[in-house]
Amino acid sequence: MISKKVTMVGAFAVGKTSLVRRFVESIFSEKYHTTIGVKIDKKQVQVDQEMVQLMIWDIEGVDVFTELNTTYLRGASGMLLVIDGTRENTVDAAQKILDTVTNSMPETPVVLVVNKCDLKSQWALTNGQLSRLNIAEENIFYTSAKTGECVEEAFSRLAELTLGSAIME
Amino acid sequence: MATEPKLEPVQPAKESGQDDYGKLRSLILGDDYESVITERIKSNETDRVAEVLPDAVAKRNAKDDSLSQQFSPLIQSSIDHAVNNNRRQFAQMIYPVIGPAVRKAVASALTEMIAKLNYLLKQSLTLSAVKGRFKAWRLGMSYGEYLILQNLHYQVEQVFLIHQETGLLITSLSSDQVIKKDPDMVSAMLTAISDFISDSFESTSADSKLNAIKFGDFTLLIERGPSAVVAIAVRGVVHQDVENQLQEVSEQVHEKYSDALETFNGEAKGFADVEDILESVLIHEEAINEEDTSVPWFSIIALGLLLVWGVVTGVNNAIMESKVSQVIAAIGETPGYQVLEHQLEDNQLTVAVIHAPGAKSIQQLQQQIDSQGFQLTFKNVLSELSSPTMLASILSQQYSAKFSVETAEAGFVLVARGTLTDAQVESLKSDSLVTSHFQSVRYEPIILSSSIESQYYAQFYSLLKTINNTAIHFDVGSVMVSPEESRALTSTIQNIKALSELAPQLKQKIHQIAIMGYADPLGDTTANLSLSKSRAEHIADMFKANGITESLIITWGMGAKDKSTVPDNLQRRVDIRIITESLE
Repeated sequence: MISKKVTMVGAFAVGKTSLVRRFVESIFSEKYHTTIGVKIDKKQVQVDQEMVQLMIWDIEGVDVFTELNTTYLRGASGMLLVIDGTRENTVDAAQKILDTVTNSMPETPVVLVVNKCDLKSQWALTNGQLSRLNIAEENIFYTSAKTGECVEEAFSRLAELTLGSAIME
Repeated sequence: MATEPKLEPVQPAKESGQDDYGKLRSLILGDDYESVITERIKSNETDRVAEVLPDAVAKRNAKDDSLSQQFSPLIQSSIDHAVNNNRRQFAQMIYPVIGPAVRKAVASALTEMIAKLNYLLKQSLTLSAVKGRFKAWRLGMSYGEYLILQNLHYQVEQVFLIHQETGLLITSLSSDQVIKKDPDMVSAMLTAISDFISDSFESTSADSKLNAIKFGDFTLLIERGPSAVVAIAVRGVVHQDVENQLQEVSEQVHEKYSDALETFNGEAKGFADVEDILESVLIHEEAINEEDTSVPWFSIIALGLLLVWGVVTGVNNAIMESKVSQVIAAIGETPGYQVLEHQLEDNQLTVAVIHAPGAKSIQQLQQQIDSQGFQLTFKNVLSELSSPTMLASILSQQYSAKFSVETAEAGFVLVARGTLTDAQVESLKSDSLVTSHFQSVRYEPIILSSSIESQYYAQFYSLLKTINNTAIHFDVGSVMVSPEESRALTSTIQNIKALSELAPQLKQKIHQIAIMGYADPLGDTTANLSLSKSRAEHIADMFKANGITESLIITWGMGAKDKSTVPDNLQRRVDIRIITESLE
């Protein structure tokens, strides 16, 4: 079985941890988040005929007070970038993260997750805003951590991408 | 001072006037012109260099350190030369610096030596050292070896091989009987924690990474190689052997699997047989087990016998006690006899009695009493009845007051102190013990025998009882006293004031007025605690406002403390409890 390190990043309160919780059963308590800024979970995903074990590094949300800790990104084979469909400014945060990441690890595959799609009435994003991020259409998923919609699909896609990618320095 | 040479002739003439001067000079000096100029410059060269040297050196130094490089052999040889020429002066110069440094080093070495000596003495002279030596002898080894083994016991419980870059686990091993958490997660988290620490303390160099985590008797040792990390979890005291072995394992892994580590893509395929290398660090050292596993029969038998003996003695003692008290009671019930004390030795029961004149004789009593098998002896203290002091102590017991004896001209005077009621005073006057032995009875002024004072006492205690039984009730969630309850509050305040006035006259001291607030169990605990405290404080404020001494008051918020069977409306209350003490 192949193990891959993937990271989950995004603005504060976009629902990263809830997405992970949807996706895995965790043995570490969430208090690690507030203590060292990262929480790690694992999940096995089948890609074609192969099992991939994703070590998911759920990194503390970025806001005006917290910079993204790039140390935790080191050695990642893929990244799940999360934004909140009801908050426009989370796209800016995502843009900032992308800039940082593409600088240090330009070939890391990125899956964009637009979360909270169950809150259609409060939707604040237009397709134009997302296209700024320059992410291929097939790597964008509209998910809901609440209903579980598209969560598995997003992680599966990320797993597929990690298999195609070498580990970045 | 020399003047600056004028260098106009060598500079190209810019103006026509200067050009003319130039022509004139060459006409006059001809071929000597150049040599005159050179001589002129040379004559002032030293002065000129001296003028610019410091600035020039400073400028060059600011640019690079080539000057220092050039100078350093020069300075070195100058110092050598100076030292060789005048060693004595050098010694004198460095002596004040070397002296204190040497003294400090010697002092620290001495302190260390004394500490070691102390430790050795302690290790050799204590009881545990003696025991240790005995055990070492039994095990057939030197005391030193034994001590070392005693202090070294550890077990390497788990070993992880982690890919440096990704934090992914390559493989892990654990010793038997170890409950392990998911090693994949542990290795990732370990990497995260290590990253976090490096980040937090801004250490960037490769060798300043986290290399050990310690908690309790558990140590996590982390050995970092260029592309893999070997981490081991050790329980117990980590021995140098373990650290060495860990380092060796890390080196072996790097040597044998350098290609696999380089191309690691999350798959452990390239790491065949790596477990064999890791296995070698999974070592343990057990402490000497000097426990004797055989069943300690001797102790069990001895303990059993002791237990039986204890039970038998206890039962026996209880039977004897009961018999003795029967005898004593029988004597005490005999008219005219009073038992002062008794003593049981073997089977001999000695009873000291006072017997009144005219009562049965001791012989008669001895025949009449069932001695329960004891050898009964009476110690007759009748003769001492004439001793007035003895009488005083008997009277003290009877009347719960203090009696003492004073000598008067015609005999003894009985002095009474304490509290006596009118009836007791009457009874004392006609008591035959008093009339037959004392000339008179004198009452000290503190005697409170009058009925009024008795009433005061009764009133004091009644007030105290009433106050201590007071409960002021509250509405749900309220701190304020309702009109119905305010009557109870008013009367309580009056009662406390009356009590405070009576207390000094009756030699009573009021130590504290405690106000305890309670709440019903509805609502959460914190809110109830705060509410009950507010209730108590509100009542305390009312007391203070009405002139009750503030320093006596103490308030407690008890929260909801009552049994669930108590109705809620009775639980919402304030209790008052006064602590008093008689000063007599």
